Amino acid sequence: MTSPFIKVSQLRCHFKSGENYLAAVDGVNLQIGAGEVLGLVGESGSGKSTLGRIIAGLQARSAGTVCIDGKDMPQHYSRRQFREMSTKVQMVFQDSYASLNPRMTILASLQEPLWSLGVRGKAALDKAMYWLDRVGLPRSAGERYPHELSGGQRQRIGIARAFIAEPQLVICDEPVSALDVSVQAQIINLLQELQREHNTAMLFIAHDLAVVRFLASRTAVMYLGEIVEIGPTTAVFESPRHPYTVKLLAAHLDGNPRERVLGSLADVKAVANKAPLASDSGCRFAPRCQLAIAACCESPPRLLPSLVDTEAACHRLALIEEGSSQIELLSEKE
Amino acid sequence: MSLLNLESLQVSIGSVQAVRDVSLSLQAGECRALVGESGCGKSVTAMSLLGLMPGAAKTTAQQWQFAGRDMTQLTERDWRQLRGNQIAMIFQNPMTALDPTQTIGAQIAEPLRIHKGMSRRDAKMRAIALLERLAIANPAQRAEQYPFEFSGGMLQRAMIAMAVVCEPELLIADEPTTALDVTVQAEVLCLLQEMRESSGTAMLFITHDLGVVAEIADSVSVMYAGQTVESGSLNQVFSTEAHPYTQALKRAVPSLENPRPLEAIAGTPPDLRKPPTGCGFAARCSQRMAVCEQAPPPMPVGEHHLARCWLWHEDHPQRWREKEGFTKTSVIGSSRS
Ligand SMILES: Nc1ncnc2c1ncn2[C@@H]1O[C@H](COP(=O)(O)OP(=O)(O)OP(=O)(O)O)[C@@H](O)[C@H]1O
Ligand SMILES: Nc1ncnc2c1ncn2[C@@H]1O[C@H](COP(=O)(O)OP(=O)(O)O)[C@@H](O)[C@H]1O
Ligand code: SF4
Ligand code: SF4
Ligand SMILES: [Mg+2]
Ligand SMILES: [Mg+2]
Repeated sequence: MTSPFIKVSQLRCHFKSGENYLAAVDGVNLQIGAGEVLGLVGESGSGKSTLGRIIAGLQARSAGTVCIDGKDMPQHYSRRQFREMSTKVQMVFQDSYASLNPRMTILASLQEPLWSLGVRGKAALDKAMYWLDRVGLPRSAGERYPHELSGGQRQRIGIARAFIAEPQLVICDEPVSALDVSVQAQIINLLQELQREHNTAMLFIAHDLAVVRFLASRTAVMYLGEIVEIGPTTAVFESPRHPYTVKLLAAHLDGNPRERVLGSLADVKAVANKAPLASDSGCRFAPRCQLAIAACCESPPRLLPSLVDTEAACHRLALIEEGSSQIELLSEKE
Repeated sequence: MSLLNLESLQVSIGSVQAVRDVSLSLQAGECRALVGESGCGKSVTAMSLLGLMPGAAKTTAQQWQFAGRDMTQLTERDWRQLRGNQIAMIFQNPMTALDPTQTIGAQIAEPLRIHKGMSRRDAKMRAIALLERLAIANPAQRAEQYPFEFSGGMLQRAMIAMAVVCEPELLIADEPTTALDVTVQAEVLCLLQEMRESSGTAMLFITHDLGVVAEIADSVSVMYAGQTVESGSLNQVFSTEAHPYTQALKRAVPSLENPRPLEAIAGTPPDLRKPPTGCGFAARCSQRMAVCEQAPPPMPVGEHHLARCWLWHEDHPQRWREKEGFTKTSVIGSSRS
């Protein structure tokens, strides 16, 4: 990777919550190279969407820097800056219904991103028509309104709209979790084709680990506001180092009736999820971690390189790396 | 004898034939998964089993027995006694199913007061004990809270508590984990599994997630365009996907172990206002034959394993004759007509 397209440093986003601050994103460092697909997984409420929205300029940050294409971005964008940025970074949402204007026809919605680039009239219309074809919708769909389309069709429009201005980064926030399995496959294949065709960088946020494994070359795992593990997708999935990543992978149900996993998730309901607070000290995973020691609650672990080319934020990384497989290590403890 | 025996359920709502031919059976304690894409009629089937379809809906069934009773003869009063007591449901969306103006504790306790005649105090104690069993910390305090104060995973557990509080014989769960992330999903599935083991409740588990099915079901029914198109034990349906739709569904699911290109199912399901007269899947089926313009009846694939597809007809040249363990050669479904 030469110079990354996106570089995020010490990014924080805190929300006031009573006396304290909720640390939705807490000190995240991240780079995405041109044309690279980074997967982002993690528990509900761990800050994935917030991180995505900050990079897309839809949410102000509390601290840290965001550098896009070599340019430092301000904390709050002016209209002009936002418009300029949105030609480079686009977002696909889980609920495409909410992101489309209900009173605009599909064709008009599609052309909107082009207007801010100064492309108008026939040129814009032709391009919108091309993209209707490209995402597999009949041209007649262009005359319709969002509520007249199915969820899968609306998501195709959401994707066409994100790609039409040829951005360098597309952020997808759970683009398929509201859709059926069969429609999911269509949308995922479409995203992969477009990403390759245009060499677009992608930040792909999803709950479905198998989809991330299929699409992403690198994967980051978030837990309560922090990235706890990041690295090449194969290494993260095959040699997970952080105890949370191990737990997350173990909870994935792969559809094989001969390998039921639920029974082995002994402590699965151990601790109710709590919100990350700015005042937390130590490792936020400690209350649920079977490897936790006293030191874990004293200082927060930092991301350190592992032997498999990933980085993991865990005080006991060295111990974990000694054991041949961490899953064995965890089960020995029981 | 089965706990539930439903044969050829049909439900139409106005011009929509939402359920065209659904047959289901459940033994006491069994967990059957009901799988299919959205709009295929899963929720309408579930609501009908609870007698909750609006008056405008027309419901018929050839046979419909539950716990030895003929369900086609029930009055609204009978239904009220049954619902939430012998048959209970976990709804798809807890936010809309729970009453935002009542505390969680009061809502869990309500069925006990109605059906078991418990006092307010006893019912509340029972509700708190149940919340505790469902791993909710500080259950007594939590019982006093309102739905908006609960996180998604906790709301789903409150819904489960409400549904199981009277120890129903049949629990219907409509996509109870679709909106949850994998660790919370695992948590909810574990709880349901535990409940089922401790009280012997039978479960109809509606989902479109085959990973979840493989994890918890004993048997599977696959629905397509308002009909059950395949049913059998979990292993039968997962090892011999007999119906082309089931096959396509399995190929569309990404796998963590071997990441491979996903094969999407081309096309869209039929419009249920004008359902096709032949096989409902024909327009999207890669194995379509001339005979598929006629509606296939359910045909035997193995013992208690049925597929509504002409490929399994006894006159079809290749497929099934070599199948191991296959003995019965008559077409069961067609004996009805
Ligand atoms: N505008 C806001 N005001 C206050 N708190 C917020 C706001 N936006 C997000 N949060 C909180 O920040 C945390 C992270 O939220 P976020 O939506 O980023 O999670 P997520 O990882 O995307 O979760 P999910 O997987 O459920 O989508 C949560 O605790 C959430 O309640
Ligand atoms: N109250 C209703 N009025 C009219 N049509 C309905 C109603 N409820 C469901 N339907 C239709 O019935 C079909 C099956 O719906 P449903 O059972 O909700 O599907 P799912 O399998 O996704 O649960 C769909 O075509 C749906 O649009
Ligand atoms: S730092 Fe300690 S508590 Fe945190 S994940 Fe590592 S071992 Fe567990
Ligand atoms: S009956 Fe014919 S069209 Fe229908 S699923 Fe079987 S082969 Fe395909
Ligand atoms: Mg989110
Ligand atoms: Mg439904």
